[in-house]
Amino acid sequence: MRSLTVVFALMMFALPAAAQEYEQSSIRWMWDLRAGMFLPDIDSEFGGGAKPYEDIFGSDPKLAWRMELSRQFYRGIGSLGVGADLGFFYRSGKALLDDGTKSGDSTSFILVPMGLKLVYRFDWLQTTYKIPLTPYGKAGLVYNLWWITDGDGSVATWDHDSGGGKARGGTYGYEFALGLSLLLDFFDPESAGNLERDVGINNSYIFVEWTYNRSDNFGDDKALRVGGKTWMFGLSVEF
Amino acid sequence: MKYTHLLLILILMSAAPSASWGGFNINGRYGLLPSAGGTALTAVQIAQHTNLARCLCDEWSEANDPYSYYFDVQYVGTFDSSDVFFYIGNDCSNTAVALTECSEIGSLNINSFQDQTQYIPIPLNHLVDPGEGICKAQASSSTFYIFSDLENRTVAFDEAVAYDTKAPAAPTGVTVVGGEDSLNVSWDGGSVTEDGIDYFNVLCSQAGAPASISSEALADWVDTEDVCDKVLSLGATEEGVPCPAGALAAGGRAYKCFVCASVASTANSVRIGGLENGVEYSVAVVAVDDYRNVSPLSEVVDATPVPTTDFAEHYRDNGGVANGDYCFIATSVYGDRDHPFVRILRSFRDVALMSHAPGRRFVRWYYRNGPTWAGWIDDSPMAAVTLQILMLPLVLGAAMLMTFPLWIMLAWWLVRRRRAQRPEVAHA
Repeated sequence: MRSLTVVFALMMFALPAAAQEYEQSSIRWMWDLRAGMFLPDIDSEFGGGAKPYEDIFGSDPKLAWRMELSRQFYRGIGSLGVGADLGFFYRSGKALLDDGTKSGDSTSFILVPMGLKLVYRFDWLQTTYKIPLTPYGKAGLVYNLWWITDGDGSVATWDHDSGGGKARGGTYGYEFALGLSLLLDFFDPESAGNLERDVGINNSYIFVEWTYNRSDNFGDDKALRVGGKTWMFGLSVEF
Repeated sequence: MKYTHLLLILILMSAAPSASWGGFNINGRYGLLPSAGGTALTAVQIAQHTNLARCLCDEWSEANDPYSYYFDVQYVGTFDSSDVFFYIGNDCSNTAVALTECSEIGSLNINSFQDQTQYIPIPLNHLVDPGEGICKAQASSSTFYIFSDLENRTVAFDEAVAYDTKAPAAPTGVTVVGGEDSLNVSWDGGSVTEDGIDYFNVLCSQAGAPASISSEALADWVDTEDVCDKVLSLGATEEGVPCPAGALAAGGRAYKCFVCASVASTANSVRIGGLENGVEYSVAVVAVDDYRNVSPLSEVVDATPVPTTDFAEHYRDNGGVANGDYCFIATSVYGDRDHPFVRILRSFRDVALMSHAPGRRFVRWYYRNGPTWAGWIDDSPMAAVTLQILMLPLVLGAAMLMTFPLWIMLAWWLVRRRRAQRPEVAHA
């Protein structure tokens, strides 16, 4: 009975035959664009006491963007590739007055993460049983450029009165992600076929991904902690 | 068929040039006579010559040359010593309209066009108010006529001329909040609803006088002081005083000497820096239209710059220890002289470059110029980010060169592994 249920489920999710009528060209690359709500771990440096990030920018996560290009070098039971990604996160708030209330000046925190990672996609279910769902995982190193701006939009200094150094730098760390992608070709096999014939895109997906980023120079106390956990959603294409 | 022929003859007669008349062309428009250094105006410049300030100056000058602009008129045709007449107005070619309702600019003998073009003045006060020549606040157009026969109002040439002497409405909802050595000024962006607003100016005063950061260079709206060196107002009979003390008053006249900021019409806020904490300033906003008319002053708001704490300072105040010391390019780019990438480049300098003369020359050159470049990078986050990315291959290259033996060993191992995996070929 259980095996019958499995077979039925496979049939329900199976790609229509039309989707496979055209001969797919070989897949080499994958590109994705994703976005999610992100809150950097900066305040974790203070062990739950002070919350300078929250004081100025609030505790609500804000939209972060990532874009990734990966090259698949292995295809067998799933695919394995190496990818590079680049992101952007911007948060703006009001500088504080002496009494702790908000002033008219703005201050912002900008983060540009850059990652190099291994990507494994378990697309065996898709290629073998035509099930349009592909779980995947990523792991790699990430380097985060960041800077803080002051009221006039220029890079802030750490200590205004003493003219301290500029408030910008880089923090490196590691990142891993688990995700699930849904093959869009499933919904419109004919368009998918045209897309491949016309522009060489083999497959297109929407996906959801949970990312854990720990960026603190691998435990350096002097690092600005700019990692965090994020749910991201996006669109990807294989070509 | 008979009527068709008659109609055709009539059409041909009306289209044919008169036996004694040719045609007039406008070769160009000039803000100043070319003999006085004037150059041909563009369409945008013509719009900026048909505003209230030039109208007031024309009205004031009256007997003199107008401060608006000139048509460069050319005539091509026969020269029979007859006169032509220049008029401005509306419907002046209609004999039912009294000529007194139009303004006469002058007349010329057609022979004066024989060897040259003629510059005909277009006084805005008569364009705005044909007949009387009194400036009014309105946006419309009138027509420039050349009559070959005044009695029958025979039009040899006519052209409509648009003008706008109506100042925009003053912005409302002005709020000013103190910042670090600055004021953050905002206003209701929807309060100026007329079309063609080009930008907003903010005006600042300190104790009634223009603030130290105020500069006329921030405003290019046209006032009568620019045009005819007089401070004239619509409906006023006496000349005003340029940049009077205490001139920042709600609904009052805007003086360029108080302008301290300029922003595009799409903005509704601006941060004015370069002020002094603890000093009270008065602030007002004006709107400027495409014709370079300026609105009256908005409400005037007093505010004082105050010390503020940005995120970097607040982070440090709470005991945060991340730093961002900078020196030279690599540390400027990567933010910390102890950054691993900076360490790699420093090791590369010591090990690979300082061991030979060309390398030492390069290092000396770098140390001469590096601080200047680092200063540029410090002032530009985007330059730093770009260089951070561009320098990655340099860092990786330096790291690989310094670990060269390791890479050789790895390559040797990979080659051996591949050979071991290669299937043996059976020999015949």
